Amino acid sequence: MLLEILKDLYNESAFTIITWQQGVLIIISLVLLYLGIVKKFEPLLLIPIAFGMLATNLPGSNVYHPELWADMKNINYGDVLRNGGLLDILYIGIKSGLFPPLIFMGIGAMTDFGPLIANPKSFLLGAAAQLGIFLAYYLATLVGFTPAEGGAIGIIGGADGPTAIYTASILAPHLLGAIAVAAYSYMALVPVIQPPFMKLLTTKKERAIVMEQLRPVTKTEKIIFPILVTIVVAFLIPSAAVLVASLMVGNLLKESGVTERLSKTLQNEFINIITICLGLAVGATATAENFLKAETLKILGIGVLAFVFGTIGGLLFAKLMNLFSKKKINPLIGSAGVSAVPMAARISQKVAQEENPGIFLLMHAMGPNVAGVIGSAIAAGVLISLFG
Amino acid sequence: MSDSLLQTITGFLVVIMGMFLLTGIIIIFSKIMSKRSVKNTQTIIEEPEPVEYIAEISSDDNEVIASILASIEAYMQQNNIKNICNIVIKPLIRTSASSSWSQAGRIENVSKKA
Repeated sequence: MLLEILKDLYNESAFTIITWQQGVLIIISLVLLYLGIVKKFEPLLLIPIAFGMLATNLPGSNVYHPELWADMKNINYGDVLRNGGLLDILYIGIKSGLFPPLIFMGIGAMTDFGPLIANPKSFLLGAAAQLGIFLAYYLATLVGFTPAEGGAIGIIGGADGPTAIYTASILAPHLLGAIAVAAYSYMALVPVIQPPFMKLLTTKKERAIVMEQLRPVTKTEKIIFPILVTIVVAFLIPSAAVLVASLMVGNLLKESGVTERLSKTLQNEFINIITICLGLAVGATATAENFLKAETLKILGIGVLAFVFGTIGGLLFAKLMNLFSKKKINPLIGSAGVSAVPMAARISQKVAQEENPGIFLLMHAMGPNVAGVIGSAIAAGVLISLFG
Repeated sequence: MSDSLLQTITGFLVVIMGMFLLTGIIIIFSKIMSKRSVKNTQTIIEEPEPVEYIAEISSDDNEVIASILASIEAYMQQNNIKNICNIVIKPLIRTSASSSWSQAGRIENVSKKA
């Protein structure tokens, strides 16, 4: 009798229906949780992503149903709301392109564009560092991905999580999980990936260049800047307007000085709530059929190369600018053009300080760093208009 | 030339051109703003308003202690000093007593820089 009850309980448990693929993904999610919690690899997003991955792969959890999203062009949202699980409902926020722009509003409210306004040439360094996106796209198409998939993979090189998620959700939703994991993991690994190339491509003398102090930026300039950039980008590349406008409205609320409450909300509760929803929903897409494929390894490989190409692009462009500029710039600020804010700028400061302990490069590097955020949003717009 | 290579070059050039345009616009905008601020400054210089000057003098010892500790820590980090015993502290001898006005001015100046 007791044995039969135990047998029935076992048969009803998840142990009998778990597949080996789900087992592997549960282990991967635990590794990601470890990296987020213990190693502090972008924990704010990696932990929700890893937990979403864990929840979606637990047999019988029914929190996410990939079959509801199978027909990407004709999704029945009513069906999703009636029959979907919690993470299906959260995924609507990604599929509809809602969450990434909302995150961008929060980022905008936390960003100071002062160093970029003080040295507008930083825009060019932010642009040059987007080389990684396009070379990674080319590589992806060479190894067999479609152009749309290549574009979604290439955007990993932008080192900007929300942009990567936004682009991937439009161009290749089936690769979203792998792309998000690669983007956030590599962003956390910027201190490991960038310095060897920074040292390889610059001389000791170049790394020790001390730059002139940045001019002070007026409040009026800081207020007009987000309005101006939104108008220019929306006219040039309308498909990038959503991301850039979201970033800039957040920044305007901060800089205007009259909407302190809204700005504080964006910087804290608002961005935190969206981050939790976004992370869980992205993690949920990492199901066995989407994630456990040879393509995932290719995405991880191309992703790291995208970061490397981006770093090289920024460094070489900074060296090129030095050939034509009277005021020399430290080429190390070029590598900060990959938009991992403020990590990439800190790396520039750290590498420069190894050569010249008295150097203060951080504010100069913040210019290309925030320009990189705008640059990667523009690059995403270009890719979406080409392949979307 | 393959389609994907063409798209790579085109895409990258569009980003560069877009950012180049933004650079130009921001440079022009900055120049206009700096001209305006120079004009404003001149106007202010022409009509200076008498301002009664009151300097705030902080008497909080904790703030002074915190500043000294922060300076020591920054010095230790910069010079890679692990042990505090390796720091030599020399006494500072004041050359002359200053008036309370110059003292207030100095404090105001320091607090502005801080």
